[in-house]
Order: sequence, then structure tokens, then C-alpha cells
Amino acid sequence: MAGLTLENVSKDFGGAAAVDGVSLEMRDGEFLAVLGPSGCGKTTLLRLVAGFERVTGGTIRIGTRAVSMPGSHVPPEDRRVGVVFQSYALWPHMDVAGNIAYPLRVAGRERADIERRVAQALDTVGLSGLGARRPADLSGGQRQRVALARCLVMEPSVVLLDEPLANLDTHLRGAMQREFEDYHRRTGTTMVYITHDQAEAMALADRIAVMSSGRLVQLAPPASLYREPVSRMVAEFIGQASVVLGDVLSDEAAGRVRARVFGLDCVLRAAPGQTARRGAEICLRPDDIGFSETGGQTGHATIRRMSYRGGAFALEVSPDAAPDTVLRLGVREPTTLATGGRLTLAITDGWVIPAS
Amino acid sequence: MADTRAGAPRPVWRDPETVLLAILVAVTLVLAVAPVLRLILESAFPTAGGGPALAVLSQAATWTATRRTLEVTLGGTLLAAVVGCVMALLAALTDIRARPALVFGFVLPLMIPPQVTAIAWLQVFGPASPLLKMLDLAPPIGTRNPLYSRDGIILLLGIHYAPLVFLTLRAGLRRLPRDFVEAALATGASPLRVVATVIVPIMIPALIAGVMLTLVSCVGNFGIPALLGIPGGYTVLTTLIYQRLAGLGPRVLADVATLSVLIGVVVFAGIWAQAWLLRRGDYRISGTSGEPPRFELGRWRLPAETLAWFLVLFTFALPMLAMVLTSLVPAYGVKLTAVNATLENYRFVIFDHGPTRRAFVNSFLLSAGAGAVLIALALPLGHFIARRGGRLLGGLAFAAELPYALPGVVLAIACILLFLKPLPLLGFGLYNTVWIIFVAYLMRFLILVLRPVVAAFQQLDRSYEEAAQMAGARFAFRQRTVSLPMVAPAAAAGALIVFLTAFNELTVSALLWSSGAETLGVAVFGLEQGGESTYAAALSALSVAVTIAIMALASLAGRRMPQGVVPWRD
Repeated sequence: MAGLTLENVSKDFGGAAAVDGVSLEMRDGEFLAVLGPSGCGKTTLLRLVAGFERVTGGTIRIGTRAVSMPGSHVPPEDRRVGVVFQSYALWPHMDVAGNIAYPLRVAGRERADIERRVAQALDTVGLSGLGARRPADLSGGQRQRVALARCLVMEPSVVLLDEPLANLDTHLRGAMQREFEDYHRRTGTTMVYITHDQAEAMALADRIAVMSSGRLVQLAPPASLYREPVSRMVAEFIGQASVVLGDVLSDEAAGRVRARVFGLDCVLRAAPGQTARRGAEICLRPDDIGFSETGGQTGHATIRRMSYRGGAFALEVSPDAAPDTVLRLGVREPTTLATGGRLTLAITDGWVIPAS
Repeated sequence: MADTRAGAPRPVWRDPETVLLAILVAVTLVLAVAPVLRLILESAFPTAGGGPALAVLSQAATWTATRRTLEVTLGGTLLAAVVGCVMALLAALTDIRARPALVFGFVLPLMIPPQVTAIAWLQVFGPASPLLKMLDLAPPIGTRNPLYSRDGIILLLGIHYAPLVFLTLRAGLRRLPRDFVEAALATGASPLRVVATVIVPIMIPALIAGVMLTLVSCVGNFGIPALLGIPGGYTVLTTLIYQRLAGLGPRVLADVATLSVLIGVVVFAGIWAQAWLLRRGDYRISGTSGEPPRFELGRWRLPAETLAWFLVLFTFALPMLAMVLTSLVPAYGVKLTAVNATLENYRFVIFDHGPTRRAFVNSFLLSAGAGAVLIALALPLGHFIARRGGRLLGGLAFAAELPYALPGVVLAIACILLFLKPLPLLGFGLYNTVWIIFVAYLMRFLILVLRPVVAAFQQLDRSYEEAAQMAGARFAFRQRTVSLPMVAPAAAAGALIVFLTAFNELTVSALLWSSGAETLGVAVFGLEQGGESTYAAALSALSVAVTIAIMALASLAGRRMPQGVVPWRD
């Protein structure tokens, strides 16, 4: 086990930067999720850490050892970094036990030792007795477990997981998520978990690194990422936030500011040192907005669309003060609300996104 | 803890992979680029003696041979295209029965060497034809065999290469998305109209590719014009080169090198024309493929099946039957009966005749050896081409196509030029030994193994190798335990095709053989030219039997291989 340090890491593919100056430090045993939309560079980041790609700039350290810098590159086979591939990458010409035993064969272990460890690993992932099966005869979840077991036997210093749940059915994902949590708790291995699913990242990780266009946008524990996004991109990517424009009326004091949004006075949370400013970006979560139905044409906003979500409705609401803005709200059934209906709004909480 | 493992990072250039890659690049350059360069060099700065190289271009014989080459090429290609198209449409788009057998039967002529095709067809017509004799239709003794003519060469080239058009076109038709056809049918178009307005236009690239391949093959063909044209005094470029070199020896090397470049130019003009034609239109296909569309023929099914089987019978069974019958007659020209049929000819070529016995052994060792060496070369090379890519490796993959695209006669001339003198530093020569044939086979057939191996690597998800890498496996161990088992079927299939092609090969060895280093092709050719038609027929029958046996074997093994690896399988 070891910590992982990235210092200003960059990777160009023919002039286009896939990863652009990413720095982060993981302590030994940390569980980090790397989150971002497809094409944001998160898979390239994983391949750089694993050693499948060479860095164009910066340094990657595992523990205290520099493994990647321009001009010097420790090949993947010397890194002892475990990877669980999105496609599982189980070799079809070997049975399950053969797949799991492979790292031990490479390490030149004795046959009896290999057999014992393989049986142990199979037991750990709940696949005892399936060692003689072919990977093709396993279900998706079982293949995932074999891939994990193959990682496990090599006692890796860092484990990288590349969208490991992307190919699984929804109901299997929860089970596999628990599997990863157990594995992490039991082994205390440093883990990097690549995903585009924010719910997965929030559920699993100690900290989340949000990436966009090759850059690291924010690195924070899940709760502060949700409550205090540093940019519009992060706010919109995590949870169902609406980012709207408003005026900050006072300087920050004790983490709060007075503000006016859609003509409504409110108190919002803000970063230390936030000053009064017109046209600031405000992150509003569905829970931050209180509303009640009004008769006729009074009120602040119109319901543009309602869609049924099973037990509740999702509302898209446009305030009169900013008709092009869409606020997302929710209401439980039964309700008398209908498309075209009028609402009175009250902003109870919110976050002032710091000016970039 | 991580710090206890291997020390400081290694610099890139100390990588064992890089060293292996450098060796592979060097070997491939020698095999693929050297012959082409040497030939070009020779025609620019002749070193081999004889008159000025360009003098040969002012001789009337050169231009007569060029004109005749074009005549038989165009005629043969036209015939091949018509027959190949009809069969491809029937086999790929209709519900005719017994499709696998039909495909196998129709592709067989391509797998049979041209000189054997020629010998077999010569037994169908002519005064000594056992078939005609049995039917009492044989023309009187002394009548010229009608195949000894331009039209005879065209007929045989057309029949021999029709499967080439067929295979290319069928491969294209199988990629045709079903939706295209169904969308057209849904608009109310009749099936015939759909074929004419949707399928044919979409299939144009495959057709162009097949036709160009046939053109190039016809230009370079040696076996058919040698056996039909030389007796009839109808000389094409390939046979002109052969006759000059066989008659006058290496001192005409400069002349024949120039002729070779002339053929090379014709061939590459064909390849360039294909690329140009394909660039002009947009032939990209998007859509879901899957099961290709199949039209129901209804009451036309039986006539269609009859036509298809007639073509198979006419192009394969008829000449083979004539050849086998000839191989059974006690003496050429004698009418075959149940009483006088004999296996004496087989006994002679297998046991009594030294050169043919040697030829069997030589051809077997040469083709098996070439297959084995090429597997060993193509596996790592294919890995680098598919995984690393880059301009150098891409160029190398293209260069490996050249010796196969060049007509065999041209490659043989290049080999003579390269190896006539003793090798530098080593002090011994390959010329006049069996090794010059072996090296020529390696050059010519490299692409046949490399192409499927590269394709297999490209289809193989890169994460299989990366998973081994993360497990700590180094390059050699990784290749042995992970990559090779997964691409081995493709390499084996490629090597099998090499074996089949090399075992029966004549064109290259006709110019490179020496006493004691005869190949099977040379032996058959020699017997037929010497008027020993019954022996030639027996030897041909044996080589066809070996070919079919290996093809059948490959078909069985092909069930466990990815689609498209064994070309004649569905």
C-alpha cells in the first residue's frame, strides 16, 4: 500500500491535451473517485497512473517513488498497480482459477502456494467452487468479481477501477458497490475509482475529483462537493442543481451573505471572503426553494412542465424575473398543480458560486 | 513498500521490446523492400551485363508480348467478372440450397495451381482427350488442341480467376446491411429493382476491388500462358521473360529486368486505378449489419440451382475428370476402357522418377518451412503494427504487400539480381540452391500470414494485454501466455494458405529452380512440356488431392476460428 501523488501531470495526444496540469495527493488507504463526463480525461488519467501511457509533463509518484515523468517511465509490469478494467479483460483461454493465478505465476510462486491463494481469493469474492469455469460461462457480476480477485492476489499498492459498474444491470450495481466497499475496508488499499455516475462516486468515495476538459476542477469530500461547488459545471454535474443569476448584497460574514434572487430577498451560504457583487452565479438545489400554489395570475413563477416520477412529480418552473431560467422542483402526489399553474417562491438556502 | 521493487526508471531505449522491434523491421525491410528496390535500381543502372537495358523496349517482340498480355488479361477478367458476379449474387443473396458445398466447389479452381488447371483442360479437348475418345467424338490425331490459342488462354484465365471476383464480391455482399434492402422493399420496389438500384451501386467498391485483383493476377499469370501459349507460339510478357532467361541464362538479366519493371508498371497502374476509382465516390456504409438479406427465388430456385451447379461442374468437375482419366490411360492417346485402366503412371511419378520424388519432398519442406518461419515473424511484427502503429510500421505493412502484388516472374527476377553474387560478408551464394526459392517464398507470402495476424490483434481488446501487464508479466511472458494463444488461430490459418499456395507454386520456382531443387510445380510443368501428359496428369491429380485434403482439414478447423479466416467457409 502506498499513497499516490500527481504533480502537474499532463498528457498530449498529437497536440490536444487529454490531461492538463492535474495535481492531487492521495493519502495511503484513501478511496478517491474521479468523476466527469465522457471525454473529460479521466480514463487517460487512470492509464497514466497504471503506466499504459507516458506523461508529457509532470510527475506521478507511488509512495515516494517517481514512476512517471517525461523521459523516464516505469513500465506497468513494475508498478504493482492493480487495474479492474471496464471490459473485465478476463482471458478467454484460461479458466477462472487460471485468470486469478496469473499474477502469482508471473511472480514465480510455488504451485501449492498459488492454489491456496487462488482458493482464498475466490472465497473472498464469493465464487468458491467456480475456479474451473470459463469466463464466458459467468454472469457480468461474477466476471467483475473474478477481475477483482485477480487484483487482490497481487497485493497491489494502488487499485484502479475503470468504470467497473458501467456494463452491469442496475440491480447488480448496488451489490457490486458493497463489494468494493468491503474490499476497501478489509484491505485498506489506496483506490482510484473512475466513473461518470455521480451517485456512485458520492456513495463510495472519501473524496471526489471532478474533471472537465482534462483539468481537475474540484477535489473535495462528497458533502462539500454537493453543498459548495466551485463552478457552474460542478454544480450542474452533481445533483439536480439549477444555477441562476442573483445579486449578492452584503460581504460574507460567518459563511452567510444577504442576496436578492428573482426579486426575492434571501440569505445564502458563501465562501469566506465573498464580497457584495451583482450578477453572481447562485446554485439552488430543489430543497433550497419553498413554493406554494397561488390562484389566478399572481405569484412569481409559471410551471412549464410536469413529469411523473413514481410517487412524485418533477417540475420545471420559470420565474417571471428570468423567464429563460429553468428551476427544478419536486412535489409529492397527490397534487393539484398542473402545467401552466402559478407559484409563489421562497428561497430558503443556496450557495454563491465563487467568481472564477 | 513499493520502493523495494525494481530500481530507478529505465530509459526508453534500453527496452527489450525496442530491440526486438528493430530486428523485425530490419528483416521485413530485407524481405519486402529489397527486391523492389533492387529491380528499380537494375533498370535504372544495369549491372547484370547484356546490352543497354532500354534496347529491349525497342524490340518488336516486347511490344507484341505486351499487346497479347493486355488482350488475354482483359478477356480473362471480363469472363471472370461475369461468372463471378452471377455466382456471388446467387450465393450471397438468394435462398438456394446446399450453399456451403456450392461455395466450396466454386472456389476450388482458385486453389488449384494454374498449370494444373491448364493440364486438366488440355485433356478435355484435343485429339487425345480420354473423355472425347470414350464418347467417340475425338478429333483425328494431328488436329491441334483448340486451347493452344489466345481464346484458350482467355477461357482458362476467366475460369481460374472467377472465384477471385466471387470471393471479393461475396465478402462485400455479406457486409450489406439488411435495413438497406428492407427499406427499399418497404417503398414498394420489386426485388429485381432493389438489386439494380440499391445492391449493385453499393457493391461497386467490392466489384472494382475484385476486378482489379483479377486484372493484376492475369497480367502476372505464368502457368496458363506457359502451357497453352508456348506450344501455340502465343507469347505474353511473363512467358517471354521465362523463355529469354531459360534459353540464354543470366547474361540477359538486364533485358528481363526491364521487362519485369514493365509488368510491374502495368500492375501498379491497375492498383492505382482501383484506388482512384474508389476515391471518386462515397461508398461508406453505415447501418446495422447482421444477417445479410436473402431473397426467396420461389419457382426460379431450381433453375438458379441448376445454373450454379452447372458452373461448378463445368469449371471444376469436367477438367478434373478429364485429368484423372488421362492419368489412368496406359499410353497417351489410347482410348481408356475398364480393362486397360492402370495406376502405372502414379507408380512411376511417386517411386521411379527421381525428379518428381525429389520435387514432392522439396515442395513439402519449402512450403511447411515458409509457413513456420512466417508465423514466427508475423506474430511479433503483427503485434507491433497493430499496437504501436505509426508511420514506419504502417509503411512496413504496406511494403509487405508489394512482393505479393508483384507477379511471381518479376519477384523471381528480383531474387536473381539480389542473390546472383555471393552474399556480402558471408561469402556464399543462394543462387542455384534451394534456399533462393525459400527466401523468395518468405518474401512473397509474408503478407498472407501478416494480414490475418494484424487483423486478429486489431480485433483483440487491448485490455487483455494490459491486464497481463498490470499483473507484472513482462513482454515475452505476456506474448506467450496471453496474446499468442488468442491470435494463434488466425496465424495458423494464414500459414495454411501459405502452405497451400507454396506447395503448388510454379511461377517463382520456374525461374529459380536448379537441378536437385525442383518443386512440384516445376516437375509438373517439365513433364507436360516434355510431352509426358499421362505422367503430368498423374502428378497433377496427386497435388490436387493433397490440396483438397488440406482445404477440408482447414474447413474442419475453421469452425473454431473467427469468421473470415478460412476464405471459402460461410
